[in-house]
Amino acid sequence: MKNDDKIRDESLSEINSEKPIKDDDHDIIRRVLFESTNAYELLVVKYQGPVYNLFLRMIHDRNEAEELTQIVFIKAYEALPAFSFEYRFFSWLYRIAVNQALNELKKQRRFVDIEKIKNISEEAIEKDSDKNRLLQNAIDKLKDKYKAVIVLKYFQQLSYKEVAFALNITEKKVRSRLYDARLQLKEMLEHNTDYF
Amino acid sequence: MWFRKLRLNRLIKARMTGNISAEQEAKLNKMLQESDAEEKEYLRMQELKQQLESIGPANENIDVSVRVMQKISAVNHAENQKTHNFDVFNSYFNPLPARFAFVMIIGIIIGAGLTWMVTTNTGSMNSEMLSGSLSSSAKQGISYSSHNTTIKLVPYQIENLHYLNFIVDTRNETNFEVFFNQSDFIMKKSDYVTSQGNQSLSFNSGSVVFTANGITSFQIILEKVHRSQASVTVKTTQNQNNLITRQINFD
Repeated sequence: MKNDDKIRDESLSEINSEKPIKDDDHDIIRRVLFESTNAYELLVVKYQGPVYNLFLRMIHDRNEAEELTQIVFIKAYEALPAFSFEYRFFSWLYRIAVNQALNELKKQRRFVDIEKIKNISEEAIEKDSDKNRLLQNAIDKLKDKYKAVIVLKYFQQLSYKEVAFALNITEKKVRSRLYDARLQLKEMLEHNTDYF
Repeated sequence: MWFRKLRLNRLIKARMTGNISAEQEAKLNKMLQESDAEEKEYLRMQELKQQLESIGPANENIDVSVRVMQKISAVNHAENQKTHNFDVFNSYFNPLPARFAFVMIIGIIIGAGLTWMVTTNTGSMNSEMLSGSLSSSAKQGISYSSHNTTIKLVPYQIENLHYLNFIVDTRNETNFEVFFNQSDFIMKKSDYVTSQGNQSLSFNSGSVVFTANGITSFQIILEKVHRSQASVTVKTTQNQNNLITRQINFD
């Protein structure tokens, strides 16, 4: 299991439980706040991958994803004194990242054709089947709110609860929005491609 | 037809979002069995869901930690610099009461300055009106002090009204007699302002007699009926011993 997957699974299992949150990150946050700023690097190293990949899936530009990843970690650092220890740091960070991504998409209003992306990983493209490419292309044409829910649920593999937290909506709304997003994808793929 | 499609979509959504009842489940199965096209629609939705689930997370690696920490360090440095620039203010004026006091002192200074400017520029003070008042008549006042008695008389004048203010602090009963000529003055007021001890007050033609015990404040107001100089005599006794006898002149 890759490091990012492990982080996601730990986050997933704990955010789904009703028990008080035990998060090693909380100790690091306390160190950052009360002892040494340098401890923040531990959090950056731990979560830079998932955050970067979220941006990559949403924005499709490596340079921009890298830049936005840095911005998110700096924003999170600046907001750290207001961090509530009832949340997992990862979920909280994700919420900041998702908002950043949505703002960026809104700003740029970009609907990128995946075939035209220069910065996308060659390796990733090779791994994608034709179907996946068509699907990805359709996802990029979705409205931001549908795109975000698809990326978070299927690409970032967050739980419904985590997606709800990240988007600040209810779990029921997440399920409903996911269905609507899939329905739109189906219609796009039926009409414009030979996907099915 | 469209109604059936709408109903079918609702049932499919209910199943795929996990909110389907047994009754709805049965209805959906029946509808899907009745129409191959509708079943195909449903299967496409399922296929799409599975396809999405199979994509999995992106796993590209990146290392921005050094750059992030450098930026954070720069931000902290800038903030420290900012704090340093305001060190004096923060050190001395950080507690709220100190700030409040600082602002108040500045306010008093400005207020005093403005008052000075206004009084200097307008020159509205009527020197005629205050002639013979506290500043000039104070010299004629009485100031007496022994180990158990203090007496002060502060006379002042406003136009033709002459005020005699007695302030007494005594452990022994002290009697005061104030004499004036009725052709010079008309008595407008004669009364205790404050008194701790027994009060005793009497009037005769051209005189006021009162007693002070403890801390006492007494005021007499006389109206002068002409513009010539006139005098008032104040006599103070304690246990029938004379303490003070003073004549006070009013212009």
